[in-house]
Order: sequence, then structure tokens, then C-alpha cells
Amino acid sequence: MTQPSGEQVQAAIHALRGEATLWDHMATQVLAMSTTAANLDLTAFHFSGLGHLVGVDSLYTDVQQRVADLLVQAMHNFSSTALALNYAAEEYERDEQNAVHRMRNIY
Amino acid sequence: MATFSEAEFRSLLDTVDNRLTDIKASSDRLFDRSNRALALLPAGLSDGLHDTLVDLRDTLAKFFTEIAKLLLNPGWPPGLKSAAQTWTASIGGPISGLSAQLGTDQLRIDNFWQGPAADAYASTLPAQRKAIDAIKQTTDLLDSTLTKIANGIYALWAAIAIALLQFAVELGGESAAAATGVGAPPAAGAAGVSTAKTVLIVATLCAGFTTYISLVIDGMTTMRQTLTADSPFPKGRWPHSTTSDFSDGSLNDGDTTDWRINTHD
Repeated sequence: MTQPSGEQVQAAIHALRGEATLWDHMATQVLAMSTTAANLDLTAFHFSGLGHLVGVDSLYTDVQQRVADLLVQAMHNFSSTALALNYAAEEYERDEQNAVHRMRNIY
Repeated sequence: MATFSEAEFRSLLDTVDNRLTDIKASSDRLFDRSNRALALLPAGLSDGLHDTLVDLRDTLAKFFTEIAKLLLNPGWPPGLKSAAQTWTASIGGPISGLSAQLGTDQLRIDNFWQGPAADAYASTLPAQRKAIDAIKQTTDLLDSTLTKIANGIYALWAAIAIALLQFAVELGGESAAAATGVGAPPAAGAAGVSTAKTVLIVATLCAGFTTYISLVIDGMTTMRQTLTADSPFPKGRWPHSTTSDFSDGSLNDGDTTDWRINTHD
């Protein structure tokens, strides 16, 4: 296997951090979406008395809350992914600084 | 169905209100005139008129009670439509952007990395994309369902307004016909028929609306099940990415879960 150049290593670490940043941004976005979803309350007032009798309002609220909850869980998962990628980048970079890759010839 | 504004819905409810005022005025006039006729008509005719008026009073009371129940909570379709749009504009649209972003970014990582950690990371992505796509499908469905319900509510009131207009016209004619003493008995009878017919029309419209709403929300019931089913949401939860499989960037720990640079050999 070809040994990567220092620039290639830096670019790869940079790409890993870029990927982590993407997940961080996505975490922020899904959290905002979750807040929006949680605020989209609709009640019997909106669905009419007849709609209420059919149970539309409670069905809607159930779906609305599930979506809001799932998006919060998505936020946690996206944040964990970002954290893991950043951690991996950090460790790889430390090994690189300590010449671990060069000594073992594993990159 | 054509779109309608908040002002148009308010105006529709005002129209219903005005028709009810007309109907009340016409029925009051018909009772006044019929009551005057009762004193003038011969016994046989006045007894018949009296019974007809009792029936009419009951049917009218039923009519006003049913309409009052509906008007107590007529629904607010502008709010439903606005929420429908927000589901798509603020959640469905942006989240489908995330799905696309995930796809292209994975290619970018592949250009730089390989090995067990890169593979483990890549293997988490399909589940995330599937979950994101399921949220998009849910918001699409919420948008279309809420819009259909909003249109259904508007259509119901538009149809009720037409029925009330017809009733107001008929009752106006019947109350005019009751102005002459001999005209009162047939006018009161016709008013009873008009009222009963309108009560039936309104009940039919309401039953139709209820059936329509039940059909429309079938999709939402299915969607609720999808959100709790195992795929794409295991046990109803967002799919968990096993980050320990790709958080390891160090060779020093002696395991094989590391990230390796892709040198494109």
C-alpha cells in the first residue's frame, strides 16, 4: 500500500472533521424542526366539533408528538455521531503527531 | 377544491348567521300570522292549524338546536391550512435536504477513508436516511391530510349555507302566504315540510362530512403505525448509530476498529 503524504493525511483528517460538522449542523436543524413540530398544536377548535367526534384531534396530536419526539432522538443520534467522528479525528491526529502510523507503517 | 382565505371562511360563517336570522324572522312572522288566523278560522280549520303549528314549532326547535350544535364548534380551516404549510415548509422541505446531503457526503468520506471504522460508519447511513425519508413522508401526509380536512370543513359550511338559503327563501314565501287567514293552514304545513327537509339535508351533509373525514384520516392512522413499527424506527425510536464502531481513530489501543486512509491503491 502506498504511504500517504502528510497533505493527504491532513486532508483526510479534515474530511473527517467536516463530516462531524455536517452531523452537528444536522443535529441543530432537526432540533429546530422538533421545536416547530411540537408547536404545531391543533385542537378540536380547528378540526370542528364533528371532526372531534371522529377523533381527528387526538390522532393528529399523537402523530405530531411522535414526530417531535423522533426528531429529538435524531438530534441525539446526530450529535453522538459528530462526537464520535471528531474523537476519531482527534485520535488519528495524535497518532500522526506521535509518528505511530509511520513507525507501524499503517495509515 | 379551490383555495379559500381566512376572510372568505369568516364571511361564509357570517352568511350562515345571516341566513339563520332570516329564517328566525320568517318563522316568527309565520307564527304571528298563523296565530292571528287561529282566531278567525272556523273550528275545524283552526284545530288543524293548531296541531300543524305545534309540529312546526318542534321541528323548528330541532333545526335550530342542530345548527347551534354545529356552530358551537364550526372548525377553523385557515389554522389547519397554515399548519399544513408549516409541516412542509419548515420540516418536510428541510429534512429532505438532509437526506440528499447525507448521500453526497458519504461519497466524500469514501475518497479519504477506508477500513473497519469507515465501513462501520458507512453502514449506519442507510438507516438514518430511511428514518429521515419516513419523516418526510409523514410531513407530506400531514400536509395533504390537514389540507383535505380544511377543504372538507369549508365545503360543509358552503353546502349548509346553500341549504339555509333555500330554506330561508321557502320560509319567506310560506310566511307571506300565511298573511291571508285561509292561507295560513297550508302555509304552516308547507313550512313544516321545508323545515323537516332542511333538518334532513343538514344531517345528511354532516354524515357525509364525517364519512369523508374518516376516510381522509385512514392514512394518518397508518402513518401512526409506521412511526411505531420496527422499520424504519426500531421499537418506535430513531435508529441508533453504534458510534463505538467508528469513534476509534487510534492504532495504539491494539484493536482493529480503526480508520485507515484510502490511498486509492
